Amino acid sequence: MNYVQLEKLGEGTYATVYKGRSRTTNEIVALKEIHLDAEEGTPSTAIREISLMKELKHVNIVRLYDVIHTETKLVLIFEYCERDLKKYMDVHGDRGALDPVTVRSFMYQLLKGTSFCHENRVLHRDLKPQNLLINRKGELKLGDFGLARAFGVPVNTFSNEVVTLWYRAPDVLMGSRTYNTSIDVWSCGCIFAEMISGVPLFRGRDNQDQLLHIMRIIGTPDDRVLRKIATEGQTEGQAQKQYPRYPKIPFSQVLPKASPQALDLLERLLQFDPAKRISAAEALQHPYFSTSQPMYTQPTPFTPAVIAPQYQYPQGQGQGQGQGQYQYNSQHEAARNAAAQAQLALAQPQIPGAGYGMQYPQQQYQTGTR
Amino acid sequence: MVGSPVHPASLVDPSLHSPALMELVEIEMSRTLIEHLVDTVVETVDYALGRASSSSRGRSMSRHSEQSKFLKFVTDVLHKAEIKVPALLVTLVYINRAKPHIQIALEQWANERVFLGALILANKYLNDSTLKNVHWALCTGVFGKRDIGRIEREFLDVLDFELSVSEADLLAHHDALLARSAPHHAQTRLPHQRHRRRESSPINSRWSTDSSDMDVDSESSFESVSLPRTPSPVSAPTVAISLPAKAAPIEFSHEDASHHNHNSHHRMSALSNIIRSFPMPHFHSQPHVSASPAYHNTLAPAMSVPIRA
Repeated sequence: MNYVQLEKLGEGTYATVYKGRSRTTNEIVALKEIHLDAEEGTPSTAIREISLMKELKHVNIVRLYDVIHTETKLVLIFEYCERDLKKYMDVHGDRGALDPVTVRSFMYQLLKGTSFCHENRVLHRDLKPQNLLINRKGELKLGDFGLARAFGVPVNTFSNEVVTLWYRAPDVLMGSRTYNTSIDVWSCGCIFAEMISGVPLFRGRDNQDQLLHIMRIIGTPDDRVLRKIATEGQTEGQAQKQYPRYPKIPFSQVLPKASPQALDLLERLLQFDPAKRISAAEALQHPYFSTSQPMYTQPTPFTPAVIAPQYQYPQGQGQGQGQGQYQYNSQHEAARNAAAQAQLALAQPQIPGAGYGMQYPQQQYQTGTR
Repeated sequence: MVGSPVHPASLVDPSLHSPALMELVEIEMSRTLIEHLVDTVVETVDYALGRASSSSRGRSMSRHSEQSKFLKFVTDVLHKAEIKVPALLVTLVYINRAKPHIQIALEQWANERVFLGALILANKYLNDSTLKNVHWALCTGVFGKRDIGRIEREFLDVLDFELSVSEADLLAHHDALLARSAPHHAQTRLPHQRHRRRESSPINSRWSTDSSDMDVDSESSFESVSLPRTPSPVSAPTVAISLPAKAAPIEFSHEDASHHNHNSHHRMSALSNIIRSFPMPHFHSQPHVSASPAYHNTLAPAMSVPIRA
């Protein structure tokens, strides 16, 4: 084939990810190799991942370049990103917690990519730090569309066994199959909190435990809301469950480092009732991203040009347009990257290629339901 | 207040769907619907073979009986696989989308192959829990799982993985299907599909499978013997569906690839010749659930659809 296979980045039961190089352009790529089993044939997850990613061309979504399909394997050729957000937080964070400027930049890009999916009638259904890839330029990209689905045309059937447990929305935990774009928004909220604090916000052991973890922080919603959501998720014969009545804990207590604007956005992302959750597109308009007030309690090195940023992302290789925070941030990023270079060189072989659909061992435990 | 105003099959407010579309997805599975599907397949295959379309004019007796055999095959598969109308509609969409790109080298089982290719992809694309190829093989009664794999791969190649379905794609079938309910309007022209995606895809030429190399040696779908495999095993792929765009050899450096593959190709052919001389018991192995990735675990209970044969 037209790509030289380089070192292995990660391996799972379903796929192996290699670093690769294009013979024609010398470009570095990621090769996701899916072994085809004759019993199953081409997995539906792979079919949908390819079909959807071919259409989703956006700076904040990992680009699928090519596909090679033979009897025994399916190879997806993706744009290469240095690491996933989980790894990025481990390497760059202060015990996992990222600095406010980086959090804001990543959060913006996450919402940008998510809102692009939603505009194009695609649900990602598995947003989590391991599936967000960060490249050398500090660009964040949504990856692993293995669970993604198109919606909007009434010909589909949907499962409620979606999204990795810790990032799964309460309506899905309660069994809803009529979820919508708001399930990705919930995951974005969980990721936001995790970037700020360095640890996952809700860490349940199973579906029920996860729901309780959520209620212990955002409070048990009133009966009317619970009843409404339970009706949607009701499977036959399942009696209405009783939940303990937990009071809401203010997010300012949970995340003392976060600015009031960040907390306000988080609040809107993590609404128990899916109908009340902000959309990704609305979230991008939130003052958190445009405020001229100091966003954080700690001093931020903003230059005047950075205040009231437009968030025009540079098209291609930094063609000037990018002003404001993003521009600042990528320079900042570059400096950090340079400083961390030696360290990263060491870290490289351990990068598990998660965002291309690989799983961390620990994750398999998280994913298990019930 | 009951539930949300969300259509479970689209996840959006049903009032956003046109009444015509709702009418379409709610029609009943019926013999006329299946006949329409059969006609669409036959017309597509005729077109691909360069034959004048015979569906509206008188047919020879042999063609007629061939077609009623095919009708029975389609009816059986739809029944055994428990196909619902929406999936059948999308099957029609895929067949029409594939029509300009299908090339058929060999006539045998061409109808079945085109039908199965579109149907299997519609099912895998539309549903979170789907049948595996081994199940599809059982549903057909005649094809082995490797044949199914090959049919699937060929159809993906023809469609270039472009499986998204719009309301307009479906509505293109509205008139033809509803006219079916009125007798003798059956053979109206097929609605024309728009092929916007293929034209608009700028990286189209980069999209390919290297099946030009591989298909020849994967010709050894092992379960041949008495099955509807190509009668001339090694030469041409059974239904050489291929994409015109693919002819442009931009995408892979064939020197390397073919050089590399030819050795293994010969070995493979030899091997497959040996294997081909033994009937392979392809249905007997237990369908396993665990070959899926960890995140599949979240889907596992739903995905291991029991086969009801």
